[in-house]
Amino acid sequence: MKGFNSIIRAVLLAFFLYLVVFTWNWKTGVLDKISSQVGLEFVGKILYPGRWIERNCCELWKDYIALRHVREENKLLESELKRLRLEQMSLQVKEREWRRLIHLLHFSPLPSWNFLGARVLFYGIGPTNVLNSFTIDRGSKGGVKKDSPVILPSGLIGRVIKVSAHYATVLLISDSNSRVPVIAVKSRTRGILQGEGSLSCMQVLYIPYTAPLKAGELFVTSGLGGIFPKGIPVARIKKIEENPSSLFKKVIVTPVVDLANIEEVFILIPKRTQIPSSLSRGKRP
Amino acid sequence: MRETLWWAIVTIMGIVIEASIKGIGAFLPALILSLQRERRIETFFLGVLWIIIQNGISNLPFGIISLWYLSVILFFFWMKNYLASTSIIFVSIISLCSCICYLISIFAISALEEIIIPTHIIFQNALKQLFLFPIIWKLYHFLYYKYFLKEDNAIF
Repeated sequence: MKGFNSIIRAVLLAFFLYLVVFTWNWKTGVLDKISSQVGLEFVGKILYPGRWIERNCCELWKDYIALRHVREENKLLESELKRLRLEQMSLQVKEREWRRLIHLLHFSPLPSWNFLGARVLFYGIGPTNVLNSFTIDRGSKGGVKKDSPVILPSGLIGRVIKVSAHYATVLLISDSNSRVPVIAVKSRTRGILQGEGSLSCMQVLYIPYTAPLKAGELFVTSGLGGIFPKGIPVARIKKIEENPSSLFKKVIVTPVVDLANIEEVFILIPKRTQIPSSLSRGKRP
Repeated sequence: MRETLWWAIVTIMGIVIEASIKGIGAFLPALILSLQRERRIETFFLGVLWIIIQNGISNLPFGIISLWYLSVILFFFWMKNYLASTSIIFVSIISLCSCICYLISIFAISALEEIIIPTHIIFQNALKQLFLFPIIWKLYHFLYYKYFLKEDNAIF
């Protein structure tokens, strides 16, 4: 009986201490910061050399294979380069025009971003890594912050949820806890993109029943919410389901990026506010 | 020095095992090995270190790992009154307890923090934990007694 009482006392004491620590951390976030800094750094430092060797061996083999098709690829790239140069010329004219109009309308300039390249170090490790996420080899020393957007040239991937000095964890847009404010490119219908846990299927919420959407239409980030800049491609409409008893349409979308095979990413880092000289002269009324 | 080296190797091995087998926790079997050696201060520091590492790489809120480890440690001390702590039956019961405590802690804290978790992955991880826990413990146990324990320090 004495032994049983001491066990009960130990259990109560342990859970009391646990609740104290849990509540303190919930208010201050101190333990979260310590564990992010120590845990991510420690695991990153151990796994990085292995991944480096694996990557270099794979690249060596890929380079050998790629050499066999390099002449044909070079011709294709040269023609692509010519086309892009022409496109660039026309875009430069349009950009000058856009700047002039912005200046005339006294709009404040959009925030600009730097692109920081990073490699995927590992996907979920451990028993409590159950969300759709991966860890990259860039951290706060490279300017990465919590909520920094992560993209590929083809579209949005997710945002940073945890940062240490040299590593960061990225939550994919396909995770059920991810929400991205989006807007349809043609119909300009706004909605909230929510992940569903699957890497190939997501849902856009709060699309009005009368919205003129069609399958195949592209959703881009709307810029609302203050995390993602406006205009990044996110997903295309796969299927639209209409339910007469609901105010909203059920819009199923597929991401524009293949979220299952990501090796390198870009992190968007906001530049220090630099107002171009041409715009700084224009004062808001 | 020898002990420190051993636990450093276990920590690295734990990370490599976790990176190789998705969803498995490789530090709890090591913590049980440490508890079996009855060096409480050593176990305390190892526990804190492993909780910090595990939380650092986790994408769920802080508190799940500590609640899970704490429950299993308390269960260990309670069960030790009835069975020899190094027997395979004891370790199998601990692995079952670990599996249940994992499910309870993850569902409790996720509900508290309002996080949506993929239930099927949680159950898969729990099953992996149930079956692989004794194997990982046996691996650590074998390596420790084969290569690291000096005869004059023998406890069991």
